[in-house]
Amino acid sequence: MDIDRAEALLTVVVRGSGRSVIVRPEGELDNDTVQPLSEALEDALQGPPGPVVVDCGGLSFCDSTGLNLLLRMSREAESDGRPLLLAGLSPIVTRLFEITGAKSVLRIYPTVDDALAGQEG
Amino acid sequence: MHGVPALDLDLDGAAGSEARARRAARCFLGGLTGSDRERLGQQTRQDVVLVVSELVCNACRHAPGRCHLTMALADAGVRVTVEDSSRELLRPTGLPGPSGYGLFIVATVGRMVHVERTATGKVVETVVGDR
Repeated sequence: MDIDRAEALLTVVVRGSGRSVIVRPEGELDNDTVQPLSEALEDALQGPPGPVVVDCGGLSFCDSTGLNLLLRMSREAESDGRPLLLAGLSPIVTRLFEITGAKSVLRIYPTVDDALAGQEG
Repeated sequence: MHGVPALDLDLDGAAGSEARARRAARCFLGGLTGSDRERLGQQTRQDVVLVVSELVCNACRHAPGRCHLTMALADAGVRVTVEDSSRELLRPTGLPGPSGYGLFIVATVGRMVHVERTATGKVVETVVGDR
């Protein structure tokens, strides 16, 4: 079981780019691993104003728990008047967003650079 | 029906159960050979892993203790069954419920969702195939 649990870990890297904060979860996002991403996004949304970009390029899996978090954080961000943008979705994450209709609600960009450029333009 | 590829996995319901179920599901799908392998497209494989994860997640969240995952190749795709210890039925309503999108995803991706009470809990079953 130790190996299983190690594999279940999700790590989150946070970096800044100008006014933006980029949050990058890496690994598999599910009900057991959602905590570090939840905390990182809450921290980012409480920080200085500016766009928050979730770089999904390192997500090899996302379940409904992860989707719920992203939808909730997106709503919170919008109500604060700051955009929460998603970038770099893998096919498996894109599929989840299509099935649930989240694709039409969330703000999705092909890459992090596109998301950042979209905010400046 | 002997010879039909199948998987049986007992899970303790603790943290890591979802990940363990996904790994077993990928292993099951990766182990298919010949025509069994060919008739499941890439998206169906991804959907199977997602459905396995959602059903096990529900079992771990809403039912105490262990749960049991079964997967078997069926005519229309892959049959996924999860048995847990709670007799309370979660209804696949076709709309995201208050607790989220889990069953909505299963009901959307699966060809049907069958839920049945047993003496000790319930069994939730669906078949995921090419759409």
